[in-house]
Amino acid sequence: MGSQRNELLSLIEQHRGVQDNITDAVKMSGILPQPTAWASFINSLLLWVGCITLGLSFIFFLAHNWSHMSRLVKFALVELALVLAILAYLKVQIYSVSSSGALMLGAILLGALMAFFGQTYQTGADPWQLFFYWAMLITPWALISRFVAIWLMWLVLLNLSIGLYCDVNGNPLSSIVEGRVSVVWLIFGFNTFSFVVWVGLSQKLQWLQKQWAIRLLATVAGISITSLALGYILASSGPSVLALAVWAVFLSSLYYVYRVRAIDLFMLAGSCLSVIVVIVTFIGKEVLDHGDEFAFLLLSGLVIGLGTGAAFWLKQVQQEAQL
Amino acid sequence: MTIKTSELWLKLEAKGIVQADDVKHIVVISPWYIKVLLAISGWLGALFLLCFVFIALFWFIESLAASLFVSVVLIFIAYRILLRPNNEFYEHLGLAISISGQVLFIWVISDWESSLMISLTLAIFQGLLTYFMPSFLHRFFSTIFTAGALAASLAILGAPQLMASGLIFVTAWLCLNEFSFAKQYQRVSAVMYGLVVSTLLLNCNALFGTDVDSSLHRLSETAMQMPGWVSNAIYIIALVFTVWQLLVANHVALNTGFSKLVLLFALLLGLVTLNAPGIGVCLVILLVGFAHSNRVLVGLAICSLVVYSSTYYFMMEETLLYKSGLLLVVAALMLLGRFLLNSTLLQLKDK
Repeated sequence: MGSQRNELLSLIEQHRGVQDNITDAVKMSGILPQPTAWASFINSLLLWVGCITLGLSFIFFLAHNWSHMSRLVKFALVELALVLAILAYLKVQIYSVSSSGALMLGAILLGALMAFFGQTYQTGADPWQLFFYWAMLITPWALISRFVAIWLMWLVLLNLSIGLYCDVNGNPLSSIVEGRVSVVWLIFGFNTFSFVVWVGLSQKLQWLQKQWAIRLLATVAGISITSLALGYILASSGPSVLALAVWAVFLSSLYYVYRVRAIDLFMLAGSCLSVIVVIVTFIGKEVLDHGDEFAFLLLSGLVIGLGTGAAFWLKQVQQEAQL
Repeated sequence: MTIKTSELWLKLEAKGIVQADDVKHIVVISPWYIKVLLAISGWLGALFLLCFVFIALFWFIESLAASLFVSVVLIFIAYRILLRPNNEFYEHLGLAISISGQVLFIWVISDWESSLMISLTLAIFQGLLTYFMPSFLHRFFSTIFTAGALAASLAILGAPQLMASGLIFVTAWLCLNEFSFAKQYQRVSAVMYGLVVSTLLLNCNALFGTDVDSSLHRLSETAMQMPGWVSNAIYIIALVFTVWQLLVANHVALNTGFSKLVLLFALLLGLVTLNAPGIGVCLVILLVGFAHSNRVLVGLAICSLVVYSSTYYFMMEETLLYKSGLLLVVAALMLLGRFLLNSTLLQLKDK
């Protein structure tokens, strides 16, 4: 729906004839949803909001630890809801919005049940284990669901367990490499791997071809490696060649895939932003340590120059993509 | 595909609204992420420029009159720069200079004794910038600051939640009528996005814990407080109003059973989410976004809804049991609504 709207907006902003006949132009653009599109949208919206709020309601209820209700009743309640969600999945048409909704609800309820079990019996498990086993247990559902949101939930749970694991036990990479290794390296590695696998599988599996999900994974990986590069630039020990090298390889790969082989302006815009931030931080650290107030003027000019250059280049690529 | 070969262009050409030669003058507008890139580098540039101005000219701007003078000069220079059409460099430069001028202006007025005067002056100042500054990004940010300053002014006058609820009306109406202002579209679209972000920020303040609410309450300079039910009533009416507008825009007769059911649904949703207005507001933005195929609004609403729902857990005003009950009622309402919608649609199909 976005490209038709963008096209219409370009015409509205630049063509007087379209401005004068706006009602016709809007109708012809096809951006106004038809009744069937509305029905399908509202149907999905009500189902999704209903399922997610129901799942959250259970989590909040169990977290409240209401003393008027026995443990048995609480367990029975959440287990019954879980069974009902699975029964609903079995009853509705496979790969439909309803089946995805039922599985998502089941996945949320499973987490609530595991958290309640840990809270009740004081298993002594670390918080990372809850998220890790939660992700492992919903893996079969994610596999059969063919639904992007459940896979993203799976990835979020694993990201959380990596972060929490390192909080308690330290980064396992620290035992391999000399010195303390940031947890962000693991987050970057995991999300980059997920991104590559996702993009690879999306060539064959149509349901994985959701641009927003691919962009989300690339954004997380990009933010992680940019923050690592910044961290090493700002650290007093001086920039680590490894962080900057990995950052450069990551961005070069994105450039190759999303500029040379195909064009994706979002990926290129994100890469440009990362380059601007890293260059400005690098030069800023040098000139602010030794310079005077004019260092700020220099940095301001540098940011404006780099931003302008990036926007100019992106617009050229955009025009090229439309040819 | 170029604009010239697009389906829309061909249809418009067939109807005589555009001519084949016109295509030479049409440039496809940048997607939102390029605008975000421009905005971030503009802000970063402004930050450094401001540091320079403060350090290099500190002896000069120590005087409030001199600061005011410098701020007005900077904003005027920015205005002149931004008048140049379609040039990224000038847009960046203009944004950076204008932001520096605005910060200086705020520094001048922050010395005043009355916080009401400060917030009202700021609202008027930002409102004027929204109208006059010829840049999408500038107008977008100025709209957010205008809304924020007005919310602070109303809070000082004893009506802290009035702006949040009232803004839903304006935002929903503007989103659904954006094309009524075709000749002023650049100006209106920037204001529209600014209003959407302001509405989400003011209503989903669970995103920032309870800080926004409590700081607005602290600003109050009057003993008189507007009763809470007024903003609650406005919130509910705004939700019903949006649905009513959507029905009208889609030519659905209001006297049918279907329309009455939908309006009743909006009323009930407003009632049950009174203490969690973020849910209602995100749904409003989602609906008005879908109504005009606006992916940015849809994405923004979904992200806000996800973040709001997860941060709702940490809101301290209500117990977890209460919040659990509220979410359960919302879930029941949604699933019941879906059931009724499907039954109604099936009945309509049968007829």
